[in-house]
Amino acid sequence: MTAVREGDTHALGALFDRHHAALYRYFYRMSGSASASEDLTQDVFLRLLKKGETWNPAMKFTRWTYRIAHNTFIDRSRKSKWETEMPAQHEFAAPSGRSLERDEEHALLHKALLQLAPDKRELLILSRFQGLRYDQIGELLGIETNTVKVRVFRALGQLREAYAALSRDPILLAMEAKR
Amino acid sequence: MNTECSSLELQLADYLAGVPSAEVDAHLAVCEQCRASVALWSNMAAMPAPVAPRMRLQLPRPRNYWPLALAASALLAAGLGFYGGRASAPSNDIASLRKEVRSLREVVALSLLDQQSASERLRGIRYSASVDASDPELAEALSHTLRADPSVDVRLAAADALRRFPQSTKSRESMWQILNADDSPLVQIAVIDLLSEDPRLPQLLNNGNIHPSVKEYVQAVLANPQKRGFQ
Ligand SMILES: [Zn+2]
Repeated sequence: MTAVREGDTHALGALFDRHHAALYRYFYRMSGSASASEDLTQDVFLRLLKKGETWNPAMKFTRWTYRIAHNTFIDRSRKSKWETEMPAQHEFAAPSGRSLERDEEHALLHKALLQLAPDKRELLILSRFQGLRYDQIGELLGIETNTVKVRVFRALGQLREAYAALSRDPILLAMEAKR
Repeated sequence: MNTECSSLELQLADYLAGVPSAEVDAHLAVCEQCRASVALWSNMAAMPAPVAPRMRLQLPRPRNYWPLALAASALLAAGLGFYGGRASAPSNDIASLRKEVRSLREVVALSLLDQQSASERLRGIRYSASVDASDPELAEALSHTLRADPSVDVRLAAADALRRFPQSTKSRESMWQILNADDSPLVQIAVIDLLSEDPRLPQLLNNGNIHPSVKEYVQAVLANPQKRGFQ
């Protein structure tokens, strides 16, 4: 029987090459787990196969992909819990002029993000890291642009509070003092 | 968060996205919380990006292709006996698999038409040749490309690809607009090929905006309707 034919697999492979890194980053920031992010990224492409027929061409391909990624993440987090691993240094790109202090700041931010409710986290990730505009986020989540704006700013406020609480955390402070 | 903060949420969000606002600046000068939020937002930009490991697309092998595997496990779960391999796969599964493959091609063609680079869009147009010509969405996408693509090369390729598709009244109308606009003569000639049966074609000869070479082409088509394209 004809399964996924050679040409189609190549074509999907090309899409994979173009989009998988961005999706991986999205999932990594959503889940805090490198291994779950790899699985979830692969899942999105299986769903692309499955959902091709329901694609609305008025929606740009990237946003449609994010919508599938969003659904994939929700479905998976309902079914299973993954361990949020402490991020290993090699899992992040090295910016120039990095300092120990900055690294700690960013590790705390990463941790604070993971403490937010997933829908709040997602808004910050899409708007801050994945480079989507508010109207694009609204389109993919099915909400008004102004609602997105209000929610992003409120989520940022919650992140600030979570971050402040972590910075004051005595155990973390003690660990830092020992270094 | 005080009342002033909540009344400014929309402007604050726009401010994060880079829209300057004197009102927000004035608020930030007096509100420590919002100032800290904005500072955190810029700090986030400096966070290093997670690096994707080397990954390759992992499609299930054809024989384990998952709709079939799902069907198999459903049969097992229902106690209907062992799923006896590919040869006895229920035919509606194969039909649905074929449908998926067909829609995948459509997705690929459509997504390529959506790319930034002209060469990718050209690839999309070439790829469209492998898609069922009865697909109205793809015809619509090609017709949009023909109308609006910034590259003349891509538009010509789209015109060429559109010959395979039956034309809706809507797409004929949008092509007719190309002829009446101040547009590339090359594209107009390609459109005339697509509209060679249109009864309004002679009107173009009296249209002052039409390039003389395009008029010549219209005359040639009207004189000899069978002869289309550059031969
Ligand atoms: Zn404020």
